[in-house]
Amino acid sequence: MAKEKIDFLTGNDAVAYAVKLARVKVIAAYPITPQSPVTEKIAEYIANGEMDAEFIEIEGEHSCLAAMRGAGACGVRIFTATCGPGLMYAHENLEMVHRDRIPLVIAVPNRSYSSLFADYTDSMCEATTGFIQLFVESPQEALDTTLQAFRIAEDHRVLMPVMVLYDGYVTSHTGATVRLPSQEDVDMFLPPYKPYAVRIDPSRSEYIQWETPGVPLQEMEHEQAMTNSKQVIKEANEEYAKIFGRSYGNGLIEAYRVEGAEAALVTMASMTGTARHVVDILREKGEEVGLIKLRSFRPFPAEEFIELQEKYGFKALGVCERDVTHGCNYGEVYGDLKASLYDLDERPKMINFILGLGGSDIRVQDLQFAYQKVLEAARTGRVEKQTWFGHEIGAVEIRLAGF
Amino acid sequence: MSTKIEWKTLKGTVLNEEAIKKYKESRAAWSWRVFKPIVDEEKCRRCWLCVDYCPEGVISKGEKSAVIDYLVCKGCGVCAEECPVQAIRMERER
Amino acid sequence: MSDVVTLERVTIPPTGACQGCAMVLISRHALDTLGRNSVVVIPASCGAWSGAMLIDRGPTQFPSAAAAASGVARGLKAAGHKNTNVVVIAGDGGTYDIGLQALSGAAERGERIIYICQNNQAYMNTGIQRSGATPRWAWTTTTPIGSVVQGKTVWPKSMPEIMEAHHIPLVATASIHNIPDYKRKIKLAQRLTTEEGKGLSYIEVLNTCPTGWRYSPEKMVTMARLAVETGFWPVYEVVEGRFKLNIKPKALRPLKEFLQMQGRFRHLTEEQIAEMEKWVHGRWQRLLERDERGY
Repeated sequence: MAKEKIDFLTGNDAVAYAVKLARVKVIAAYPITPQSPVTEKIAEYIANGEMDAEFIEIEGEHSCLAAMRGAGACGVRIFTATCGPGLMYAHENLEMVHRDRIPLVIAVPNRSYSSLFADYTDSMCEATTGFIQLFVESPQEALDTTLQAFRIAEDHRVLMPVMVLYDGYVTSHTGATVRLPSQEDVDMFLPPYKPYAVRIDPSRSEYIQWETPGVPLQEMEHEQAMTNSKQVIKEANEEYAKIFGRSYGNGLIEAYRVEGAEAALVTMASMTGTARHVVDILREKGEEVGLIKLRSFRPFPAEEFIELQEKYGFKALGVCERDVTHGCNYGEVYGDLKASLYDLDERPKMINFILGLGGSDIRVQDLQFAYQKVLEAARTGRVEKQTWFGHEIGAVEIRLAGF
Repeated sequence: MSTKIEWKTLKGTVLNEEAIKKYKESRAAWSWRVFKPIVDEEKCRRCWLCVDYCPEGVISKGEKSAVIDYLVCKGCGVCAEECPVQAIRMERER
Repeated sequence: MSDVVTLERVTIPPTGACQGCAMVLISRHALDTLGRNSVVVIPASCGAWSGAMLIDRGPTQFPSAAAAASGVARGLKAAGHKNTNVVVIAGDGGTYDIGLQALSGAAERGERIIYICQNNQAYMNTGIQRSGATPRWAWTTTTPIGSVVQGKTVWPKSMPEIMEAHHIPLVATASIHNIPDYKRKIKLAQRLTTEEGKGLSYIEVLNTCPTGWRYSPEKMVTMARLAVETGFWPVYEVVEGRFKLNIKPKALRPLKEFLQMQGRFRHLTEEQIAEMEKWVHGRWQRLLERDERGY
């Protein structure tokens, strides 16, 4: 492994650096808080000649994803970034990107649809869109995961687009120490893009008529690709560790101090850091609690959770997430996890903690409350209340004036 | 899982002359066309306006006159209408 | 019977379009002139029926034709292809209305796109609904003739003028009754846009749709000729800022000759016809003055 440089970067800058290392060829992006610095950094790299890429200064996110679909059809490596209302504006073309099996990597610094700050209500709208969704905790993980994302998306067993999700402002704008891989090592990990099928190639001597199979077959193939991607995500994580010495659990989830735990919380992205700290505090006090970090939200790692449950026999699980599915009174991750564990003979009690909506802080005391509730459920075998909103446990509210 | 996967949704077929011919035959314009353009070889001045004006482009420049490909002609009548010497007449086919 | 399809031609008949469809005429002349080193992007429109082609098609949703074409143009450049024509063939819906943002953005960015709008003055493919290009008082299914309201109540946009404001190398209108003039503009667009990379070229062609305008298909070319000779559809070009009126009838024919041939205008009163003629003649006067000035 070549010597890595160490720098102090924000999440956005780390993602931009990864895009440079990945030798992306066409980028289209429209600014939106908190994604704008990614776009600005890439524009700087190109203006300085540090990156040889086409940068389309597109006029809107809907057009942005359309341009990505067009460029992807030409068989070149592509990247974009957006979040919040921009992600929702792009929805029509997001669906089309996965339909065309274009290996797009899109960085999403999660932004609430109703405030500038972090929650997952923007990307959860895309939970069924056929994007691989990886949640990252830190600028370092954002850089590493962006590089892995190209590898995962372009794998011929997958060919599905990947979203790299990190908390807006909390991770995107906060600096941390980041080890920057060298170009030679990245070139080893990420070879040049070899498309499976190039839809647009004017130099072809024969004329290809692309077949349009029926939708049922199409959706089945997409599911097959998502299932394959579980293996590919794990492989990418392993091979990245071999070259760069860093890994994130098994790629799909990461378990922390779950040995002997009677209850555990499932967390995602930056709240995981706080949660580890709380686990340490509680373990110090003699409480037997653990933590499971969910990195791959899509594909949902049902097998991993089942394995953990069967091995450690948690009596109760709490799911902490920054989103709620209106009409269900729980969040997406809670619903997915509960469905995954339903068929087990011994199921844990499950409680949902909807924290951090609108970007409100997820504090140590909020997670301590969550652990208190799941321990109660583990010990009494009863769930007092299935879903807790942060507002109810005294979390600070975010108010946004005007729009 | 290292076996090569063949994604049916990303397949294409080569369009060669044979495939094109099959495509034209499958559309069967001849089977539902109501009027058919007939070119009077004597009258045709070989100005080739009909070649330009035919929407589908089924008329070609023959040796003696304009020649119509009846496999694909839809019988819209534009050629007959635009011919400056009325060398094309529309005949009812069905 | 001769086989008109050789591998020299890009478009392959027969298409699924209506009999006497001007869109097919517009599309085949453009693509056959530009040749095989081209990629075409066709959004939702009657263009969906433009048939099989011996060139690749860029994928797009309805509002994003120019954006998808931008991606294709840049993707081709990144992949090392040179001088490939990137053509959009969109309807008036995908240009004037839902596609306006993408087109405006692509034009402003100077993308190498040859943008052809085949304007049949309504959303024909979805069943003849009104668009921003529909003439005033015209019947459409969303501007029907009723006892309270008759037809579209407002004037249409002038898209060529909007495109001129983007300062692109070529803005032109064309008519299917004059194919040599149309082909000349296509070749001009190829030079300015694809070869010299000066920016987006915009060519708008009147698509005299028999199905939507309610008249018999064999008159499709006659209708285009009348549209130009009455001043309803002026044919001009603005090449790098220089204005030229290409078809200049000595005197405009009465607009009534054009309007009365179409079912969509059958209900017009004498006053409405007179007002529309005044509007057409006013616009014609301004174009004559521009032709004098040269800009």
